Amino acid sequence: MDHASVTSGAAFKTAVRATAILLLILTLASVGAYFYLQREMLAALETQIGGDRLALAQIYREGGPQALVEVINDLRQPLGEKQRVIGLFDSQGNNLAGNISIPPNMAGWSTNHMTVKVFTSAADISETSNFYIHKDRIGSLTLVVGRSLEAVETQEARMIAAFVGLGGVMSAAFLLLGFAASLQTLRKLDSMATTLDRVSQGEVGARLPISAAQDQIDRVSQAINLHLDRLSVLMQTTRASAAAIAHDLRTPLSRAFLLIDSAQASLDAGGDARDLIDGIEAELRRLNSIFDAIMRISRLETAQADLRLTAVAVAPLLADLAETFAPLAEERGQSLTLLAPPQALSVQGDAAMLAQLLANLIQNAINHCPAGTAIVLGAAPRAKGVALWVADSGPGIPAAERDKVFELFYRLDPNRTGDGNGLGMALVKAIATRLGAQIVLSDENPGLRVEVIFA
Amino acid sequence: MKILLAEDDPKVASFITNGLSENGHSVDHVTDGREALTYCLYNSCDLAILDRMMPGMDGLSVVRALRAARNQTPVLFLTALADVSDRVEGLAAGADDYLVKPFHFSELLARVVALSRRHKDSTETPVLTVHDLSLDLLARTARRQGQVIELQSKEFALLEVLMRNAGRVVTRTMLLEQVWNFNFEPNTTVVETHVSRLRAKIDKPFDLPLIHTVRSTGYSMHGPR
Repeated sequence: MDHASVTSGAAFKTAVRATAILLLILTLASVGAYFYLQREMLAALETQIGGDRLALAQIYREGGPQALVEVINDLRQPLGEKQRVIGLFDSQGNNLAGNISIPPNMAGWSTNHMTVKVFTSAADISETSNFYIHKDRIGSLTLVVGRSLEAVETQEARMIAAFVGLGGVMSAAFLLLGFAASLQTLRKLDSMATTLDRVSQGEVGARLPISAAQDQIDRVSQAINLHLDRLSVLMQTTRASAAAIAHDLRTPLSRAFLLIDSAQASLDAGGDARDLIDGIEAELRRLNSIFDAIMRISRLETAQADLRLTAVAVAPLLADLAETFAPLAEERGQSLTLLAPPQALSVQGDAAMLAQLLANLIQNAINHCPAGTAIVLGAAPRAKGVALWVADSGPGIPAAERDKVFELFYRLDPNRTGDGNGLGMALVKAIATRLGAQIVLSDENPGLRVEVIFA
Repeated sequence: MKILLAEDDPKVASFITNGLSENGHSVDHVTDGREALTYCLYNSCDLAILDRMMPGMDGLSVVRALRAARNQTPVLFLTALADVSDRVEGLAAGADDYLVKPFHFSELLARVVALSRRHKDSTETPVLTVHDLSLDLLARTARRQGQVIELQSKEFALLEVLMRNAGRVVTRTMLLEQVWNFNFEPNTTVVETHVSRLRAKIDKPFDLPLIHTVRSTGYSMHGPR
């Protein structure tokens, strides 16, 4: 698992995008906050400086320049904190008092980088720092009053540090989470790929792991597992069918070969081979009917296009089938009766396919039931939809076997000597599925009832 | 009759060609759909037998093209596709009949004859007659030697198809298609059983049978020859 495939993961990409947006917002917010804070702090300084100036101006008005110089000199100690700047200059710019030696150039408010004298008990030292100052004239003198910007600068630096720190930590957290999620997803996808690879290598039992998280990948995995289950069932059925097809196609083929040998022998001996040729034909017909049924089933099962369903009137369809098959039942000593459905009853289907389906069911009943069996053909509306049925009083099908009759080549009669090819019910089911109908087998006590239910 | 056969399998083609020639038809054989279309458009023939799946152009497209060009040559499809939907599609495209492979030659011959007739006697007669049996299609009654014979609806339909094709062979499959509209081969003896019941009504009570079995093919209806 290489780095590039993790960082190309959706989760990580999302995290990168989120981080970028977060940083943008943080930057905008910090710029705004910075200027707001700066303005507020400078305003506070202005108020303080204005107070200082007013006090000094008052002193000047009351005591003149001398008093002002004295007061400023008395302020040596507080000025020692290097938090304040006071400077009094004459018209030539010579320092009269205060802790700065040169007045700033600008009159009014300004921010200045200047050197102040720090008065300590030991010695006066000079320090350079940033000050917010106000310079104006007071009488013939110039008065400079200011306060240190150190506190403001410290606050600003802290704020920037806080924003940078916050941005860094959050970005790191986002990216880490994204990376972890990407890594986890990638691991799951890799394990899916591995499992599917194993399945394709023939390990049909392999299934995708499902974690307790039940995330999107787990849901996809579950769906894939379900499909794998279906596929493996299908593969098993296909293998079984292939074997059954081979068996059921070989039987009539080998019979036909034997009959051909007999026919040749008979002709060689100067005899008649007509009956034998009829026999060959019957076997080939049987072969063809198996082939035909398999083709029909497979085409019904794989048909993609939507079938155009139309309303099929049930009563005439059943009447036709009853009239068609009643003589056949009679020939075998059975009876076929029609329970006439309501005239208006109809289903959404395809008349030809539905006729084929029901004909198969009726033929099954006739073929598999002994003489004396009563076969009933009927239809009735149900609470939801319509049911069409073929019921007989024959031997029935044990409940456990009922699902199996839909399998290809399944026969209740194990020695496979019956009339059918073991495909009738599979074809019935395939047609029903194509028509969107359900086939339900139930006990007729005695006998079998097969219902075709249209929703 | 002049017949065009478009079939790409040489064995099937030669078998059909020989069989039809022996029955007095002249057969021209082509092996792909495009040739078949050109042949039908520029030479006239009485019937075209087209394989549904052919190289070049499939049978379905050939028929569509023919009908689009207002060419009404009767077309018989040969096909390995047995589905109801395939059949419907073939007939909708303009084919006149549809025969599923594998088939008996007698089956093909019966259909060729039926198709050649269908286009000749287009006039509808309300009463069909074979020897002393008559079938009134409007009154839906059958009479033989003046005696009214009661028929069920399937028996009536069966008799109608047989009488319309009087003198010609009607195969089991043709009967299944035309009387029952079954496009599948039932595992039971539907046709045989109904024919035998029909015989019990129209042949048994009289001295001359009119319905004749044609060995391993079907039935033919005719009076004394």
